[in-house]
Amino acid sequence: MILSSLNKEARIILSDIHSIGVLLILPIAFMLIMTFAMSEQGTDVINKTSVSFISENTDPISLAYKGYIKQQGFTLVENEGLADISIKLPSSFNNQILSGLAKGAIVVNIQANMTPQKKAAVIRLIQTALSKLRLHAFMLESGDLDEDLSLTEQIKEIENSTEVASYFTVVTQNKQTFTPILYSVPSWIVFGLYFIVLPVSITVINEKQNGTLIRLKTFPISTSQYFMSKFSAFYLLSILQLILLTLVGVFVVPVVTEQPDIFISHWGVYIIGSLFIILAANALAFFIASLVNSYEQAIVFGGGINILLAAISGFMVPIDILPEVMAKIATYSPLYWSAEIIRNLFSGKEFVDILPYLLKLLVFSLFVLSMAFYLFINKIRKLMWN
Amino acid sequence: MPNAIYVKHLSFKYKNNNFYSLSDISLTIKANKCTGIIGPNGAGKSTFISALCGLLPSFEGQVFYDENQMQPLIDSVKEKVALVPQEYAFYPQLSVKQNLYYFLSLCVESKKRKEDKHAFISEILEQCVLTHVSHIKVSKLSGGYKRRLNIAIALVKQPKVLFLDEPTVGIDPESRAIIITLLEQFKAEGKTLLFTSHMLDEVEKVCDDIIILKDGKASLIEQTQQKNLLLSVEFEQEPSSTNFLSGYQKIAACKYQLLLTSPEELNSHLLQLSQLKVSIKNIHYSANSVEHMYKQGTTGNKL
Repeated sequence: MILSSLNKEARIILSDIHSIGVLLILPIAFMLIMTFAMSEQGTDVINKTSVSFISENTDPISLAYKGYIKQQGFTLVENEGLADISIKLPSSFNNQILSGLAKGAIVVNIQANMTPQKKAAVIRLIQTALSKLRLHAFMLESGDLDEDLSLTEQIKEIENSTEVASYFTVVTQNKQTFTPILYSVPSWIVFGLYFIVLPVSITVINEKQNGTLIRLKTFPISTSQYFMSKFSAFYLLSILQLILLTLVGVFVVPVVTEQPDIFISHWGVYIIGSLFIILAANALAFFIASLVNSYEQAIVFGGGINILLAAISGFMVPIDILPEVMAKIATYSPLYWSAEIIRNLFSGKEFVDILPYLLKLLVFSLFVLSMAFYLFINKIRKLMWN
Repeated sequence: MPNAIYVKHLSFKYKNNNFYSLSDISLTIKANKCTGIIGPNGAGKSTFISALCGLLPSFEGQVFYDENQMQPLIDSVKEKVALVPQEYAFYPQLSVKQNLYYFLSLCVESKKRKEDKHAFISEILEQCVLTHVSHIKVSKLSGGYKRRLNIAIALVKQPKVLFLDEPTVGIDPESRAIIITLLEQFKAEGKTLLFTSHMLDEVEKVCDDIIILKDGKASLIEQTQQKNLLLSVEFEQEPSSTNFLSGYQKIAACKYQLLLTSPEELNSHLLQLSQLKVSIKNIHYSANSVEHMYKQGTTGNKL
C-alpha cells in the first residue's frame, strides 16, 4: 500500500510543475543566488564605493589624504553628485592635522540608501585613512619621512610601516562554518524540504473536494492506516528530494559559484540527520494540511509559515547580523535546527555536535505529528456525502 | 425476497439546526434490486445516504446490513458497500489503470497474486468499456469515460451494495446508455444498487423500488405500486355529491384521480362512471409514473 501510495504521490507531484518548482527549482535557484551574493560581499563593496572631496585644498597633506582614501580601496570621483560619499575638509586642514583640528571639522556626507553595515565599514576606513595621514604628517615633521620623495612614495612608505596583517596568524576554531557556500547551501536545502507542505496540503484538499476521501472511508482501511501510508509516501519523496538537493549543493553549487568544495565527512551521520529533518518537515506539513481547507489557505498559511520561519532562522539574512532578539528567536525554529545539522556535518563535525539539534527536532516532530494525526482523523470523521 | 439494508427509526439533526433532517425513517431495502432515492434539493437525500454508509458521526435509530444486527455499521460498510460520488473521486494525473491499481492496493484483497490482480483489473476495465483507454491519463478523457472510471473504482472492492450519486449527470447519450447497461448487469450479478438522480425517466427505467424523501421523511414505493394504474377524471362542473368519488383524490377544480391496482378494477370504475348522471369532460388512465409519484410525494399528497 505504501509503494502504491508513493507511486501515486510521485506521479501527482511530477505532473505538477508548481510542486517541482517549490521542491527543487526554487531551493536550487536560492542556493546559487545567495552563494553568489554572499561571496561578492566585502570584496567589491568598498571598491564600488565612490568618494569625492568637495574642498578646494591643494596642499600636500590634503592631497595625501586623498591618496590614503584611495589606498583603503575607495574609488575617487570628481563629480560630487555621482559620489556615494563626499568629504569636506576644513580650509586650514594642512596646518591643523597635528594639532588644532576641531572636533567635527571634517564633514562626511553619506548617501541615504547605504546599508548600516556598509556605512559602519566605510566610516572605519575613512577614519583609518586619517590616522595614517597623521602619522604621515608627524614623520614628515620629525624628518623620518623624506620630504624629497614623491607623494606616492611617501604614502607607500607609511603603508609599509603601518602594515600589521603579516604579524597575525588567524585560526578559525575547527573548520570554518561561515563561508558563503556553507551558509547558503544548508539553508536552502532545508527551505526546499519544508516546502513539502504545499504538495501535501494540495493533495489532501483535492482528495477532500473531489470526494476521494469520502470514497476511501468506505474502503477496508482505517483512517490511521491511510494517514500513515500517505505520510510514509511523502517521507520517501522527501528523501529523494534531499538526495537531489544534496548532490546539487555539494557538487554543482561550488563549481558554478567558484567557491571552495563542500565535503561530507560522515555520510552515516548525514543520513541520520537527514532522516530527522525530513521527519520534522513532513510532520509540520501534515499538521498544516490537516488545518487548511482551501488552496488559498494552503498557499498563504503553508507557504507563509515556511517563508516566515526561514526568515527568522537567518536564511535570508545571516544570523550574525540579526538583532540579538531575533537571533535568539531563530534558535527556537525547527528550520534553524535543521540547517545547523547540515551545516555542522558539511563542516566535518561529529554526531555529538548535532545531537542537541536532533533531540529538539525529534521532540518537535513527535508533538506536531501527533497533533496532525489528531486533526486529520477528526477532519475525516466529519466528512459527509455532499 | 432477502433484504440488504434495514433502517429502523432513523432520525438525525445537525448540530445547529432545530429541525430533523431525517425524521423517524423505517424501511428495508431489498437485496439484488435497484432502489432509487429521489426528492427535491434539501430533502435529506445526502444525509440519508451518509447515514446508510456510516458517514454520520452519530444518529438516532439503527441501520444495519445483516438481519442479525451483529456487525457494527462501519464494518458492514467497509466490507460490503462501495460509493460512486457525483464528483470524479479519483486522481486525474494518473492513467485509468493506475487509478484502479491504486484503489485496489487499499483493499485487503490486493494481497492476492500479481497475475490475479492483472486479470481482475482487466475484467473491470472490460466490463466498464474502458480497456481501450486504460493507459491514458484520466485528465485527457471525456466526461463519459470519467463517469465509467468512477464506477469502475467502486468495483475494485467487489461490493455487494453500490451507492451511485447521479452517475449519468452531464454525459452524452452513448455513455449514458453504457452506464445504464452496466447498472442492469450489476443487478443481474446480484448486487444491490441505490441510485440517486433528478432524471425521473432514468429512475423509472433502472429502479425497482423508489424512496421519495421530503422534509426528512421517506416513503418507499415498491415495484408493485409502480405497476398501478392512474385514472384521471375531469367533470364539466363540480359534482353536487361526491359520495361516488370515495377513494379519489381531488387534484384541481373538477379534476380527480384514483390509483388502481389492476385492469379489472379500472373496468369496474369506468363502468361506474358511465352510469353516473354527471357530465364528464375528459377521462383517461395511464401507468402510475415516477414523475406522478414524485409530484405526489413531494407535495405531501398521498401516493
